[in-house]
Amino acid sequence: MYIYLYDDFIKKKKYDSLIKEIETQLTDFGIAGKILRLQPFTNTEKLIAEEIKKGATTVVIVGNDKTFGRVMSYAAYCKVYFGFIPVGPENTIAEVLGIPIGVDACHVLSRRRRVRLDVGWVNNRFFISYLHILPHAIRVAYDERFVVSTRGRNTMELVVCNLQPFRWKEKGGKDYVVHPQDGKLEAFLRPVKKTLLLKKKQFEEPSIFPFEEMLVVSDTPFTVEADGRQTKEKKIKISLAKKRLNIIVGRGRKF
Amino acid sequence: MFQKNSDIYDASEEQEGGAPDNGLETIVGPSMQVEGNFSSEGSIIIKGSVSGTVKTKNRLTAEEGSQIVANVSAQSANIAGHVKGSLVIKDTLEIAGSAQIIGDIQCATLSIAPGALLSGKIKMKGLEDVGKTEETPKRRSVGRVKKKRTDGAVSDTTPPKDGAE
Repeated sequence: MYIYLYDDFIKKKKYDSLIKEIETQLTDFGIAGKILRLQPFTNTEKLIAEEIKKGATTVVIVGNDKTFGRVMSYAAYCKVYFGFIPVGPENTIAEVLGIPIGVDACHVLSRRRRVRLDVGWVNNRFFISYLHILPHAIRVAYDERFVVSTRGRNTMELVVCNLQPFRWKEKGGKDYVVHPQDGKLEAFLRPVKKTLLLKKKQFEEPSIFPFEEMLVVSDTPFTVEADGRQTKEKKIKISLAKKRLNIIVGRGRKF
Repeated sequence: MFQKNSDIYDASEEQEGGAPDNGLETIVGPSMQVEGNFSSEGSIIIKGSVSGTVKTKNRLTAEEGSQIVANVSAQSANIAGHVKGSLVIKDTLEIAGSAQIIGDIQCATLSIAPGALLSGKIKMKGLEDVGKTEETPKRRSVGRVKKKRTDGAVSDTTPPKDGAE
Protein backbone atom coordinates (compact mmCIF):
# COMPACT_ATOMS: atom_id res chain seq x y z
CA MET A 1 0.00 0.00 0.00
CA TYR A 2 1.27 3.46 -0.95
CA ILE A 3 1.09 6.55 1.27
CA TYR A 4 1.66 10.02 -0.18
CA LEU A 5 2.88 12.82 2.10
CA TYR A 6 2.11 16.21 0.53
CA ASP A 7 3.99 19.26 1.79
CA ASP A 8 1.97 22.23 2.93
CA PHE A 9 3.15 24.50 0.09
CA ILE A 10 1.62 22.18 -2.53
CA LYS A 11 -1.87 23.43 -1.73
CA LYS A 12 -0.98 26.66 -3.57
CA LYS A 13 -3.10 27.17 -6.66
CA LYS A 14 -0.15 27.14 -9.07
CA TYR A 15 0.52 23.48 -8.26
CA ASP A 16 -3.11 22.35 -8.77
CA SER A 17 -2.76 21.21 -12.38
CA LEU A 18 0.59 19.51 -11.75
CA ILE A 19 -0.74 17.58 -8.76
CA LYS A 20 -3.79 16.49 -10.78
CA GLU A 21 -1.51 15.22 -13.55
CA ILE A 22 0.65 13.35 -11.03
CA GLU A 23 -2.39 11.75 -9.39
CA THR A 24 -3.77 10.65 -12.78
CA GLN A 25 -0.42 9.15 -13.72
CA LEU A 26 -0.17 7.29 -10.41
CA THR A 27 -3.68 5.88 -10.89
CA ASP A 28 -2.72 4.73 -14.41
CA PHE A 29 0.31 2.90 -13.00
CA GLY A 30 -1.83 1.34 -10.28
CA ILE A 31 0.18 2.86 -7.47
CA ALA A 32 -2.24 5.49 -6.20
CA GLY A 33 -2.72 5.55 -2.45
CA LYS A 34 -3.73 7.46 0.63
CA ILE A 35 -2.85 11.17 0.65
CA LEU A 36 -1.75 12.89 3.87
CA ARG A 37 -1.00 16.60 4.07
CA LEU A 38 1.88 17.66 6.29
CA GLN A 39 1.29 20.63 8.59
CA PRO A 40 4.15 22.66 10.15
CA PHE A 41 4.01 20.68 13.42
CA THR A 42 3.15 17.22 12.12
CA ASN A 43 5.14 14.44 13.82
CA THR A 44 6.18 12.52 10.72
CA GLU A 45 7.70 9.58 12.60
CA LYS A 46 4.45 8.94 14.49
CA LEU A 47 2.37 9.48 11.38
CA ILE A 48 4.36 6.98 9.32
CA ALA A 49 4.45 4.45 12.20
CA GLU A 50 0.64 4.55 12.38
CA GLU A 51 0.32 4.06 8.63
CA ILE A 52 2.74 1.10 8.73
CA LYS A 53 0.46 -0.52 11.31
CA LYS A 54 -2.41 -0.05 8.87
CA GLY A 55 -0.42 -1.81 6.14
CA ALA A 56 1.61 0.87 4.37
CA THR A 57 4.68 -0.49 2.55
CA THR A 58 5.83 2.53 0.59
CA VAL A 59 5.86 6.15 1.73
CA VAL A 60 6.18 8.76 -1.01
CA ILE A 61 7.23 12.32 -0.17
CA VAL A 62 5.77 14.98 -2.44
CA GLY A 63 7.59 18.30 -2.10
CA ASN A 64 11.12 19.71 -2.21
CA ASP A 65 14.47 19.31 -0.39
CA LYS A 66 13.05 20.76 2.82
CA THR A 67 10.13 18.31 2.82
CA PHE A 68 12.49 15.42 2.17
CA GLY A 69 14.84 16.43 4.98
CA ARG A 70 12.01 17.12 7.41
CA VAL A 71 10.34 13.74 6.88
CA MET A 72 13.55 11.74 6.79
CA SER A 73 15.20 13.29 9.86
CA TYR A 74 12.96 11.18 12.06
CA ALA A 75 11.33 8.71 9.67
CA ALA A 76 14.56 6.98 8.67
CA TYR A 77 13.84 4.66 11.64
CA CYS A 78 10.74 3.28 9.87
CA LYS A 79 11.13 0.07 7.94
CA VAL A 80 9.33 0.99 4.73
CA TYR A 81 10.39 1.95 1.25
CA PHE A 82 10.57 5.66 0.59
CA GLY A 83 9.78 7.32 -2.70
CA PHE A 84 10.09 10.96 -3.73
CA ILE A 85 8.11 13.09 -6.16
CA PRO A 86 9.92 16.43 -6.41
CA VAL A 87 7.64 19.41 -6.96
CA GLY A 88 8.52 23.12 -7.20
CA PRO A 89 11.86 24.88 -6.68
CA GLU A 90 14.78 23.87 -4.38
CA ASN A 91 15.04 20.29 -5.56
CA THR A 92 18.70 19.33 -5.55
CA ILE A 93 18.33 16.00 -3.72
CA ALA A 94 16.08 14.71 -6.52
CA GLU A 95 18.89 15.29 -9.00
CA VAL A 96 21.29 13.21 -6.90
CA LEU A 97 18.69 10.43 -6.63
CA GLY A 98 18.10 10.54 -10.38
CA ILE A 99 14.45 11.49 -10.02
CA PRO A 100 13.05 13.97 -12.57
CA ILE A 101 10.97 16.88 -11.26
CA GLY A 102 7.19 16.69 -11.71
CA VAL A 103 5.08 14.06 -13.46
CA ASP A 104 8.07 12.06 -14.80
CA ALA A 105 8.92 11.08 -11.22
CA CYS A 106 5.90 8.73 -11.35
CA HIS A 107 7.74 6.55 -13.89
CA VAL A 108 10.70 6.22 -11.50
CA LEU A 109 8.33 5.35 -8.68
CA SER A 110 6.57 2.67 -10.71
CA ARG A 111 9.86 0.97 -11.66
CA ARG A 112 10.82 0.51 -7.98
CA ARG A 113 14.58 0.60 -8.47
CA ARG A 114 15.59 0.40 -4.80
CA VAL A 115 18.83 1.19 -2.99
CA ARG A 116 19.89 1.34 0.64
CA LEU A 117 21.38 4.69 1.53
CA ASP A 118 23.75 5.76 4.28
CA VAL A 119 22.41 8.55 6.46
CA GLY A 120 24.09 10.87 8.92
CA TRP A 121 23.24 10.70 12.62
CA VAL A 122 23.62 13.75 14.85
CA ASN A 123 22.53 13.96 18.51
CA ASN A 124 19.64 11.47 18.22
CA ARG A 125 18.31 12.45 14.82
CA PHE A 126 19.09 11.73 11.20
CA PHE A 127 20.24 14.15 8.57
CA ILE A 128 19.89 13.24 4.96
CA SER A 129 21.37 15.97 2.84
CA TYR A 130 23.87 18.05 4.85
CA LEU A 131 24.93 19.45 8.22
CA HIS A 132 26.42 22.91 8.61
CA ILE A 133 28.15 24.47 11.63
CA LEU A 134 28.46 28.22 11.21
CA PRO A 135 31.91 29.81 11.85
CA HIS A 136 32.80 29.29 15.51
CA ALA A 137 35.73 28.34 17.75
CA ILE A 138 35.43 24.54 17.59
CA ARG A 139 37.62 21.50 18.11
CA VAL A 140 37.04 18.40 16.02
CA ALA A 141 38.01 14.82 16.90
CA TYR A 142 37.74 12.24 14.12
CA ASP A 143 36.96 8.56 14.75
CA GLU A 144 38.62 8.88 18.22
CA ARG A 145 41.97 8.79 16.44
CA PHE A 146 43.07 12.34 15.68
CA VAL A 147 42.15 15.90 16.56
CA VAL A 148 41.93 18.75 14.07
CA SER A 149 42.35 22.40 14.99
CA THR A 150 43.61 25.54 13.31
CA ARG A 151 46.78 27.46 13.96
CA GLY A 152 46.15 30.66 15.91
CA ARG A 153 42.42 31.47 16.20
CA ASN A 154 40.35 28.33 16.24
CA THR A 155 37.41 29.78 14.29
CA MET A 156 36.22 27.57 11.49
CA GLU A 157 33.14 26.52 9.58
CA LEU A 158 32.18 22.88 9.16
CA VAL A 159 30.03 21.29 6.48
CA VAL A 160 29.22 17.57 6.46
CA CYS A 161 27.75 16.27 3.24
CA ASN A 162 25.76 13.12 2.79
CA LEU A 163 23.42 13.38 -0.18
CA GLN A 164 23.79 16.88 -1.51
CA PRO A 165 26.92 18.04 -3.28
CA PHE A 166 28.78 20.75 -1.43
CA ARG A 167 29.22 23.92 -3.47
CA TRP A 168 32.15 26.19 -2.74
CA LYS A 169 30.64 29.40 -4.02
CA GLU A 170 33.25 31.90 -2.81
CA LYS A 171 35.87 30.55 -5.13
CA GLY A 172 34.20 30.45 -8.50
CA GLY A 173 31.57 27.82 -7.73
CA LYS A 174 33.81 24.76 -7.47
CA ASP A 175 31.61 21.71 -6.94
CA TYR A 176 32.51 18.72 -4.79
CA VAL A 177 30.28 15.78 -5.59
CA VAL A 178 29.75 13.52 -2.60
CA HIS A 179 28.67 9.91 -3.07
CA PRO A 180 26.27 8.66 -0.42
CA GLN A 181 27.23 5.03 -1.05
CA ASP A 182 30.89 5.40 -0.20
CA GLY A 183 30.45 4.17 3.37
CA LYS A 184 31.78 7.39 4.87
CA LEU A 185 30.63 10.94 5.42
CA GLU A 186 32.77 13.81 4.21
CA ALA A 187 33.55 16.84 6.33
CA PHE A 188 34.68 20.15 4.86
CA LEU A 189 36.47 22.45 7.30
CA ARG A 190 36.97 26.08 6.34
CA PRO A 191 39.08 28.12 8.77
CA VAL A 192 38.31 31.83 8.90
CA LYS A 193 41.30 33.77 7.55
CA LYS A 194 40.14 37.21 8.69
CA THR A 195 36.96 39.13 9.29
CA LEU A 196 36.46 42.06 6.95
CA LEU A 197 34.17 45.07 7.23
CA LEU A 198 30.48 44.41 8.00
CA LYS A 199 31.49 41.08 9.61
CA LYS A 200 32.15 39.59 6.18
CA LYS A 201 34.48 36.63 6.59
CA GLN A 202 37.31 35.53 4.37
CA PHE A 203 37.89 31.78 4.35
CA GLU A 204 40.89 29.68 3.57
CA GLU A 205 40.71 26.81 1.14
CA PRO A 206 38.80 23.89 2.69
CA SER A 207 40.23 20.79 4.29
CA ILE A 208 38.43 17.53 3.52
CA PHE A 209 38.19 14.60 5.91
CA PRO A 210 36.18 11.43 5.19
CA PHE A 211 35.00 9.96 8.50
CA GLU A 212 32.63 7.54 10.21
CA GLU A 213 32.38 9.27 13.57
CA MET A 214 33.22 12.80 14.57
CA LEU A 215 32.97 14.80 17.78
CA VAL A 216 32.65 18.59 17.63
CA VAL A 217 33.20 20.45 20.90
CA SER A 218 33.23 24.11 21.89
CA ASP A 219 33.30 26.14 25.11
CA THR A 220 30.41 28.30 23.90
CA PRO A 221 27.23 27.21 22.03
CA PHE A 222 27.51 27.06 18.27
CA THR A 223 24.81 27.02 15.57
CA VAL A 224 24.13 23.70 13.87
CA GLU A 225 21.99 23.55 10.74
CA ALA A 226 20.92 20.06 9.72
CA ASP A 227 18.63 19.67 6.69
CA GLY A 228 17.63 23.34 7.01
CA ARG A 229 16.81 23.16 10.73
CA GLN A 230 18.87 25.27 13.17
CA THR A 231 19.78 24.38 16.77
CA LYS A 232 22.37 25.60 19.29
CA GLU A 233 24.75 22.97 20.70
CA LYS A 234 27.96 22.80 22.75
CA LYS A 235 28.88 19.24 21.83
CA ILE A 236 27.71 17.12 18.92
CA LYS A 237 28.53 13.62 17.81
CA ILE A 238 28.14 12.98 14.09
CA SER A 239 28.21 9.43 12.82
CA LEU A 240 27.11 7.34 9.90
CA ALA A 241 24.14 4.98 9.94
CA LYS A 242 25.07 2.57 7.18
CA LYS A 243 22.41 1.45 4.71
CA ARG A 244 19.62 2.74 6.94
CA LEU A 245 17.30 4.18 4.34
CA ASN A 246 15.44 2.11 1.72
CA ILE A 247 14.70 4.45 -1.12
CA ILE A 248 13.41 4.23 -4.69
CA VAL A 249 15.83 5.92 -7.08
CA GLY A 250 16.07 6.72 -10.77
CA ARG A 251 18.40 5.27 -13.36
CA GLY A 252 20.37 8.50 -13.55
CA ARG A 253 21.31 8.56 -9.86
CA LYS A 254 24.70 10.07 -9.09
CA PHE A 255 26.15 7.27 -6.96
CA MET B 1 0.80 -4.70 -12.33
CA PHE B 2 3.97 -2.91 -11.34
CA GLN B 3 4.29 -4.62 -8.01
CA LYS B 4 5.07 -8.11 -9.22
CA ASN B 5 8.21 -9.56 -7.72
CA SER B 6 9.72 -10.10 -11.14
CA ASP B 7 9.38 -6.41 -11.93
CA ILE B 8 11.10 -5.29 -8.76
CA TYR B 9 14.70 -4.38 -9.39
CA ASP B 10 16.99 -4.06 -6.41
CA ALA B 11 19.86 -1.76 -7.32
CA SER B 12 21.68 -2.56 -4.08
CA GLU B 13 22.35 -6.06 -5.42
CA GLU B 14 23.98 -4.54 -8.46
CA GLN B 15 26.25 -2.49 -6.24
CA GLU B 16 27.44 -5.41 -4.14
CA GLY B 17 29.54 -6.71 -6.99
CA GLY B 18 30.91 -3.39 -8.13
CA ALA B 19 31.60 -1.71 -4.81
CA PRO B 20 33.08 1.75 -5.22
CA ASP B 21 36.79 2.05 -4.51
CA ASN B 22 38.03 3.84 -1.40
CA GLY B 23 39.37 6.69 -3.45
CA LEU B 24 38.30 9.31 -0.94
CA GLU B 25 40.79 12.12 -0.77
CA THR B 26 41.79 13.69 2.52
CA ILE B 27 43.10 17.24 2.38
CA VAL B 28 44.74 19.00 5.32
CA GLY B 29 44.57 22.74 4.59
CA PRO B 30 47.49 25.20 5.06
CA SER B 31 46.44 26.46 8.50
CA MET B 32 45.16 23.14 9.82
CA GLN B 33 46.86 21.21 12.58
CA VAL B 34 46.27 17.45 12.95
CA GLU B 35 47.38 15.56 16.06
CA GLY B 36 47.11 11.81 16.61
CA ASN B 37 46.95 8.67 14.50
CA PHE B 38 46.06 10.15 11.15
CA SER B 39 45.12 7.40 8.72
CA SER B 40 43.11 7.16 5.55
CA GLU B 41 42.28 4.53 2.97
CA GLY B 42 42.35 7.09 0.18
CA SER B 43 45.11 9.47 -0.78
CA ILE B 44 46.23 12.23 1.60
CA ILE B 45 47.30 15.74 0.65
CA ILE B 46 49.02 17.68 3.47
CA LYS B 47 49.40 21.44 3.21
CA GLY B 48 49.36 22.18 6.95
CA SER B 49 51.00 20.39 9.89
CA VAL B 50 50.58 16.87 11.20
CA SER B 51 52.03 15.26 14.32
CA GLY B 52 51.68 11.65 15.49
CA THR B 53 51.50 8.99 12.79
CA VAL B 54 50.42 9.19 9.16
CA LYS B 55 49.17 6.08 7.38
CA THR B 56 47.58 5.62 3.98
CA LYS B 57 47.04 2.69 1.65
CA ASN B 58 47.25 5.14 -1.21
CA ARG B 59 49.35 8.17 -2.18
CA LEU B 60 50.66 10.78 0.24
CA THR B 61 51.46 14.27 -0.98
CA ALA B 62 53.14 16.72 1.38
CA GLU B 63 53.14 20.08 -0.33
CA GLU B 64 55.69 22.86 0.10
CA GLY B 65 55.21 24.55 3.46
CA SER B 66 53.77 21.44 5.11
CA GLN B 67 55.25 20.15 8.37
CA ILE B 68 55.06 16.51 9.37
CA VAL B 69 56.41 15.37 12.74
CA ALA B 70 55.35 11.75 12.44
CA ASN B 71 56.24 8.28 11.28
CA VAL B 72 54.81 7.96 7.81
CA SER B 73 53.74 4.86 5.91
CA ALA B 74 52.16 4.99 2.47
CA GLN B 75 51.92 3.20 -0.86
CA SER B 76 53.70 6.05 -2.66
CA ALA B 77 54.66 9.56 -1.63
CA ASN B 78 55.65 12.94 -2.96
CA ILE B 79 57.38 15.08 -0.33
CA ALA B 80 57.98 18.79 -0.81
CA GLY B 81 57.69 19.94 2.80
CA HIS B 82 59.44 19.25 6.10
CA VAL B 83 59.32 15.74 7.61
CA LYS B 84 60.71 14.65 10.97
CA GLY B 85 60.20 10.90 11.36
CA SER B 86 60.68 7.66 9.48
CA LEU B 87 59.22 7.17 6.01
CA VAL B 88 58.11 3.67 4.99
CA ILE B 89 56.95 3.79 1.38
CA LYS B 90 55.99 0.57 -0.40
CA ASP B 91 56.39 1.88 -3.90
CA THR B 92 57.84 5.18 -5.15
CA LEU B 93 59.11 8.07 -3.05
CA GLU B 94 59.63 11.36 -4.81
CA ILE B 95 61.49 14.04 -2.88
CA ALA B 96 61.21 17.57 -4.26
CA GLY B 97 63.92 20.22 -4.06
CA SER B 98 62.14 22.09 -1.30
CA ALA B 99 61.92 19.03 0.98
CA GLN B 100 63.75 18.62 4.30
CA ILE B 101 63.66 15.11 5.78
CA ILE B 102 65.15 14.08 9.14
CA GLY B 103 64.58 10.36 9.57
CA ASP B 104 65.12 6.94 8.04
CA ILE B 105 63.68 6.16 4.62
CA GLN B 106 62.51 2.80 3.33
CA CYS B 107 61.14 2.50 -0.19
CA ALA B 108 61.28 0.55 -3.46
CA THR B 109 62.01 3.41 -5.86
CA LEU B 110 63.52 6.74 -4.87
CA SER B 111 63.89 10.00 -6.72
CA ILE B 112 65.53 13.04 -5.14
CA ALA B 113 65.52 16.47 -6.74
CA PRO B 114 68.58 18.71 -6.34
CA GLY B 115 68.25 21.01 -3.34
CA ALA B 116 66.52 18.50 -1.06
CA LEU B 117 68.01 18.06 2.42
CA LEU B 118 68.16 14.59 3.95
CA SER B 119 69.48 13.19 7.20
CA GLY B 120 68.99 9.48 7.96
CA LYS B 121 69.45 5.96 6.67
CA ILE B 122 68.03 4.88 3.32
CA LYS B 123 66.98 1.26 2.82
CA MET B 124 65.73 -0.03 -0.50
CA LYS B 125 63.98 -3.36 -0.93
CA GLY B 126 65.94 -4.77 -3.88
CA LEU B 127 69.28 -4.38 -2.13
CA GLU B 128 68.06 -6.18 1.00
CA ASP B 129 67.23 -9.31 -1.05
CA VAL B 130 70.70 -9.39 -2.63
CA GLY B 131 72.33 -9.40 0.84
CA LYS B 132 70.16 -12.33 1.97
CA THR B 133 70.99 -14.52 -1.07
CA GLU B 134 74.72 -14.00 -0.55
CA GLU B 135 74.60 -15.02 3.11
CA THR B 136 72.55 -18.23 2.88
CA PRO B 137 74.89 -20.48 0.81
CA LYS B 138 77.75 -19.89 3.29
CA ARG B 139 75.72 -21.29 6.17
CA ARG B 140 74.79 -24.41 4.16
CA SER B 141 78.39 -25.18 3.22
CA VAL B 142 79.50 -24.90 6.85
CA GLY B 143 76.87 -27.47 7.84
CA ARG B 144 77.95 -29.92 5.16
CA VAL B 145 81.63 -29.70 6.11
CA LYS B 146 80.87 -30.54 9.71
CA LYS B 147 78.90 -33.63 8.68
CA LYS B 148 81.73 -34.84 6.45
CA ARG B 149 84.23 -34.47 9.28
CA THR B 150 82.13 -36.55 11.66
CA ASP B 151 81.64 -39.22 8.98
CA GLY B 152 85.38 -39.18 8.32
CA ALA B 153 86.14 -39.64 12.01
CA VAL B 154 83.98 -42.75 12.12
CA SER B 155 85.55 -44.14 8.95
CA ASP B 156 89.03 -43.35 10.31
CA THR B 157 88.46 -45.50 13.36
CA THR B 158 87.20 -48.55 11.42
CA PRO B 159 90.32 -49.43 9.31
CA PRO B 160 92.59 -50.24 12.26
CA LYS B 161 89.94 -52.64 13.58
CA ASP B 162 89.97 -54.38 10.18
CA GLY B 163 93.76 -54.44 10.25
CA ALA B 164 93.82 -56.01 13.73
CA GLU B 165 91.60 -58.84 12.59
